[in-house]
Amino acid sequence: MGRPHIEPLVDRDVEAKTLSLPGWSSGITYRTLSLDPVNGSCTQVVEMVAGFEQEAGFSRSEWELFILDGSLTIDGITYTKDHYFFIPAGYRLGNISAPLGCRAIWFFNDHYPDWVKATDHRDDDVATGDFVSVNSCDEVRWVVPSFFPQTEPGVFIKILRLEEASGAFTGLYIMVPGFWQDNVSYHDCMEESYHIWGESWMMQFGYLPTGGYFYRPPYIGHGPFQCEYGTYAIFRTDSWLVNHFNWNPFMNPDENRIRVIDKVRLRQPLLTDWTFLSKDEFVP
Amino acid sequence: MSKRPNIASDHEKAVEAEIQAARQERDREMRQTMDAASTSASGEAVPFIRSFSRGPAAHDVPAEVQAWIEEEDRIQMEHYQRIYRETEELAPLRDRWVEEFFERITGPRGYSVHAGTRRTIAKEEIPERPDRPWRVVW
Repeated sequence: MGRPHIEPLVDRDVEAKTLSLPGWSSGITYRTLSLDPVNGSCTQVVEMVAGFEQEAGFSRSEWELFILDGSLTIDGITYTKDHYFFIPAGYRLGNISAPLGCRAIWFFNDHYPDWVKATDHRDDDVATGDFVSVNSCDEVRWVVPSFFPQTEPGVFIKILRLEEASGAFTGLYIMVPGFWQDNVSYHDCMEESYHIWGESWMMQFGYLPTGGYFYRPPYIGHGPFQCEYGTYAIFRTDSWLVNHFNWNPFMNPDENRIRVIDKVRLRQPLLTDWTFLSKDEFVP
Repeated sequence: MSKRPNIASDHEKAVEAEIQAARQERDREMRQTMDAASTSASGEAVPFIRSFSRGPAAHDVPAEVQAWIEEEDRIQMEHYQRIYRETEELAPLRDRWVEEFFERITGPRGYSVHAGTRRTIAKEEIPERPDRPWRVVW
């Protein structure tokens, strides 16, 4: 049992609370956008008050952080708005502080947010090579998405981190004002998005403003899409994203995944042959 | 059992067939229950689809943290119920939006096939609406 389908949610509709989980200093408020009840892994918008300080250490969970506003100083280096971190489980960060305050969105992927004070990484098994620290404004360029079939012209993305083995990624996207796409889409992966700024519309869910969020499990139909004034958002998947476009909005997720089997049989006949997929079967 | 291209023995084939049959049966049951299970006996929406979980934490979870997870999940389900209700209330608008969508894709504007490529869908290709509620939050 993972996270449920949360769509659409607006962060302001979620009560802000003080974070008091073990290991964390005082001075963080959070709004939980989605959570896995099995392990507490979650997506939260967090605010660190001016003067917040956190002693060096690590989380036992893999986690990601994107600065929405303000700045964060880690081990003497100051990171500003639009900076993204991917931090492997057990990876030690130096002393953290937010002299002027910081608003961020963080994603804890293995379990609830925890913090263990430490002078070094957890052990030699920590995947230190996977650590990512990148300012999305200074170091990454907007590109046209290469997921085929492709979205209508008017969407640009920045991939901040790609896990090559699974195809899972975290990135940013923008939709230009006046963007319109007339199809229904679904994917084989989970898709999660948070509107940093802007608005968009989907036929199923209506309008999503700034602060809008969704956590969408696989095979759930969404679209057509419209964006009147522009959108800037952070988004993630848990595996390779394929656009399955169609014009039947009435299909349920189970019917959608069955249709994918037919498509995969045509696209990758040898693969489906030797993996013995039958028409009615789905192997996650 | 691993799947590989050179499965040879009758035993392996039999086991494979058994696994396939069980999966197909599971899927058949899932299809039958998916629409029926949209609400519980008390009328509350039931999340039908969930994402894959990475499973329990690899260490003991302190009692206060477990309580925190349960409380956050309770609140999350309140939001889920609210979202479900609100999207249900959108149904009349959505019915109009879907008619407009069908009108656009059967007209000169067309359906978005890929990137800037569009095609006009023939009116007879428009799907019939199934005889069941149109659920959008799963």
